[in-house]
This record gives sequence, structure tokens and C-alpha cells, in this order.
Amino acid sequence: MGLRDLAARHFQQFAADTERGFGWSVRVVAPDGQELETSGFSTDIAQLIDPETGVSVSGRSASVAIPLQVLQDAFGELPQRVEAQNQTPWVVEFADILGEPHTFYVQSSDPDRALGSLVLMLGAWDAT
Amino acid sequence: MQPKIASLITEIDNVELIRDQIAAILRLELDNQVALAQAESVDPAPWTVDVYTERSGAFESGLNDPNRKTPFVNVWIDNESWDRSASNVMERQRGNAFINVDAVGYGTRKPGEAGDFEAATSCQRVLRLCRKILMAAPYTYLELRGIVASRWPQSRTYYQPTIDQAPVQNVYGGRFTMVVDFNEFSPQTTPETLEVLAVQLQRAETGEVYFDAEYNYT
Repeated sequence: MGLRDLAARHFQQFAADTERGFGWSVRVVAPDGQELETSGFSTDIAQLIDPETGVSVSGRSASVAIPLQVLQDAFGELPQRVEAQNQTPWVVEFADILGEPHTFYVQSSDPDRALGSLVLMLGAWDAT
Repeated sequence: MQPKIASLITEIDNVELIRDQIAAILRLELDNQVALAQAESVDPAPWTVDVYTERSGAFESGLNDPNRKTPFVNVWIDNESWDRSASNVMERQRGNAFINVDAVGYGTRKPGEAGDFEAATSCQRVLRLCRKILMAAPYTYLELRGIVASRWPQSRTYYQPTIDQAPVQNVYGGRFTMVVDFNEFSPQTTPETLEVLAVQLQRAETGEVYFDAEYNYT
């Protein structure tokens, strides 16, 4: 097994390890309603947004990294931004470290086909 | 050399007064728009705007609420200059100030609506309201006649935030620049009584004018 295959395998192992590693439970919902309970690396951190008016606005940056293979097997395709406003986007749900659940939509998708990971940049989703 | 200004300088410059007046007019009229909307049983959210002056600290309202919707404006003085040909060196200087009304709009993606579009239209709606209010006929002199000679909408610019990583919130900024011509006054020499004088002007039947003056000698 080459080092690249080994790295991809390690990534899958690390992302799945929610007991001793940094793996975190994540729920992915496709536009057609199909759901996947899996795990990955999730982030949800504060970020200053600069609207270029000279006054910054406090905001958040959230993303999740999930093995490509897991998503491909579950959905037959990779999550991506849904451009049409009248269509349901890909939705990602996960809890923060305090246990509070948060729901996001997929703003952009960055697949890494070398290591086998998919990083989803997330935006605020108001389903109500 | 001895100081010549005998009294404490406590008055603000007129450019500061105009900035505060612009913010006050916006606050007053936007609140009134909300009241008018409520009176007509219309959702007042599109007219609900937070108004600040000279704000430079970060806005943290959206930190815990990514679905925040209320936009805000920040009124601040950009720069001012003086027209020497329209002024005098003793008392009055004709000023020309650029006062920015910055607006930030928020948006959240929801079924049937894109968050970035909502943020942009929210910001544009706020600056539309600001222009209509400040250029309304009753505010030709910003309610400061004698100080303000004219006000004019110089420009309206929009900014799309360009950052490496997209934030959870959709935020969109814009700037409406008002240019105001006004008078700025400077401290004057305090007059001193030299002599008390009573005068009376009389006209004779011939049309000749006499000037009677009374002096108090002590």
C-alpha cells in the first residue's frame, strides 16, 4: 500500500473515531430528503466579517470534512451548493461542544480527490 | 502673550451638529415609518433599522444569532474643507463636509430565498430609505436654516465582502455619502463698553437733518 492510500485510510479512521479522536457526529440531508448519519471533522468558530465600511461585523465560520467514499456510497453523488433559490439545498446538522444542535446549508464544496476528503463550507439555513 | 479668548469653549462645531442632525432625522423618520406601517397593519421589518453615529467597534449582534435580520446604519464625518472665497477671516467660514451613512444588511438562506440576495437588497433598501428621507423637501436645510446652505447626495457605493472563507452569515455593506455646505463660526472678541451715548435724529422743516448727541460725563 502506498503512502497516499495509507493517508486516505488514516483520514477515514480519524474522521470515524468519535471516542478517542476528533471525529464528530454529523447528519447530512440531501435535497430529496435522503439522510446520512455519519461522522467527520466539524468546525464552528467566530470570524470577523469586513463589509468594507470600516466597521467589522462579528460572524461565524462553519465547515465539516467528511470522507468522500462515505458520501459517495450513501448518496451516489457529492453534496454541493444548490444554486436555484426555489430548490432545497444540501443540509448539514451537528451539535456544538455544548451539545446545542445547529443546522446549516452547503454554501460551497471542496472535494480533495487526492486524500479522499470533502470539505463543505456551511452557511446559515432558516428552514422555518 | 496673554490669552484672548476669555470664555470656555464648549460649543461643538457645526459639522458635528450636522452629523448628529442627520442621525436624528434618520432615527425620527425611520421610527415614524415603523409606526405608519403598523398603523396600516403592514409588517414593519423593512423599515426597522438601528442607527449609530461614529461607530468603530465591531457589531456583535450576529455572533449568537446567525439569523439576525435587522440592518444598521452608521453616520460619520468623512472629511470637511472650507471655501476661502465665500468666507471671512474674522467670523464665518463656509464649510463643505462629506458625511457618510454606511449601511450593513444581513441575509439568511431559506426556502425560496438566497441569503446573499437578501443581504444585498436589505442594504440597498436601507440606503434607499436614507436618501429619500434626507433629500425630502422638508429637510432641504436639515432643519438647521442659518447653518446649512445646502445638502446633496454625492454618491452611493456598495461593497461585496471578499474573504477567503465564506462566513455563516450573509453580510453586505454600502455607503451613501451626503455633501453638506454650511457655515462654521469662530469665537469673537467680547465687546467692551467705551462710552454710553444717547442720540436723536431730527429733521427740520427745510429738510435738513440734525444729529443731537448726549454724553454722560462723570
